[in-house]
Amino acid sequence: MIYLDNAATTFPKPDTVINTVTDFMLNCGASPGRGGYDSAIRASEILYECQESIAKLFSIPTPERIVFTKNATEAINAAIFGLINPGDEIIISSMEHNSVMRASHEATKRGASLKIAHGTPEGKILPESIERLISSKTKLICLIHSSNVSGTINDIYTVSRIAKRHKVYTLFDLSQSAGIIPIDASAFDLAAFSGHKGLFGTMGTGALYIRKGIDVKPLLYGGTGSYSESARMPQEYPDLFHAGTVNAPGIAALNEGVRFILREGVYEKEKEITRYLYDLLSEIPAVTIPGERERTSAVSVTVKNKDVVELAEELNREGICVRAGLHCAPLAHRTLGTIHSGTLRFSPGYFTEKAHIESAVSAFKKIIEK
Amino acid sequence: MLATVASINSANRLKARLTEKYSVPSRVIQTPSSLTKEGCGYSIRFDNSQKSTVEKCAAELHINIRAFFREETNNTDTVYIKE
Repeated sequence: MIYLDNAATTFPKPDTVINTVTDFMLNCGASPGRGGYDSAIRASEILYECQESIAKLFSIPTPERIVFTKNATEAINAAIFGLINPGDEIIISSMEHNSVMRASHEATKRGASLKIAHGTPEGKILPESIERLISSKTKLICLIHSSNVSGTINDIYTVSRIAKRHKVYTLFDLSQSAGIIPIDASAFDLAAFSGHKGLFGTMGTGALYIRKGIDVKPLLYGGTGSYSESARMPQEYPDLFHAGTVNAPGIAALNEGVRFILREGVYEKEKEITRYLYDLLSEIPAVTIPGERERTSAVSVTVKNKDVVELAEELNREGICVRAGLHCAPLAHRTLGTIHSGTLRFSPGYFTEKAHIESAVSAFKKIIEK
Repeated sequence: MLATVASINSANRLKARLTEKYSVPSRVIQTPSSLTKEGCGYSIRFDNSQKSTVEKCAAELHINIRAFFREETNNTDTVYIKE
């Protein structure tokens, strides 16, 4: 099998990640913050250590303001619904995933208003296109750092500076960029992470960073293992966002995934393998690749007179795992001009070798030349 | 001695910093019921001589220590004396 769907979830995971999950399940197994016995305390330490690891990787000054979620979508929902009130305005981009698009749309049903900054045909959201939309009602700008369709990387640092100048909060969706390209989140307001993609954790993990000084209401209410006599949620982070038992084995795995990145420095290899794939695919005359060469690991293609879903199925028969369709990002496909056809997405990862790319592209060529 | 804090996360942060920066051993424990009005709290336990270091470390981390309790044994019972 050649796995080229790392934009959906990374596979394989580092051995240390797998061993950590097993070790947690075999030797710890307790619910963090739900008791005073050693393994419950140890489980809580794992959460703390994971916050520290994430903070280190992204230069976040306040690790305790990193809260765990089940995925980036939940992190995005927590940020939007915890921050936005009726009458507030949200600006999103035309490259957003449905995680942002649908949550923002729901916010409009609850009295918020929504504006969309349109991207270039390459899928780039120009910071000035966002700035032009800011009004006195704007409370939040949600922007995808890197597209899950085209891999296009947006300049979130400039957008962050613009937003600060206008006293507007930013929420950056780092699902496709965290662990793939270096990120300095020290000046960000809010950032949503996927745990199981570039950060090498298991599915069922994500995180939301909320800068100190920003008040966000929690999405869930319930037991936290603290202040149990009070009917109100504790105001301390991360407890405010950790109602119910958290995914401790997943967070242990995520911690090891982040440590792997800190230790191995994965960025150059990931960049190189994506470029290699892009260059080989771009040599095929019938293939069109939306977006720029510099990108994160999503390389989507269309093929003249071919159905992308059928192509994915033929590649599947050859043992090659790729994803076809709209990738839960119809706005992005409209921007890129691929809404009717969808695209066939190849997404390599850290463990993808050049030989895998060569085999996959060779098989792909044979299929489209039939 | 016990220092009671708002959450287990605060307790873990404090413990880690005490170990890494000050080489002060400590242990995270569940706060005894008699010492907490809110229920289900956490504390760190450390040697009495390290109180000022713990205060300094908590201040660095912006962790609010709710109270310090000296632990004494009265026959077989532990008695907590608020400092």
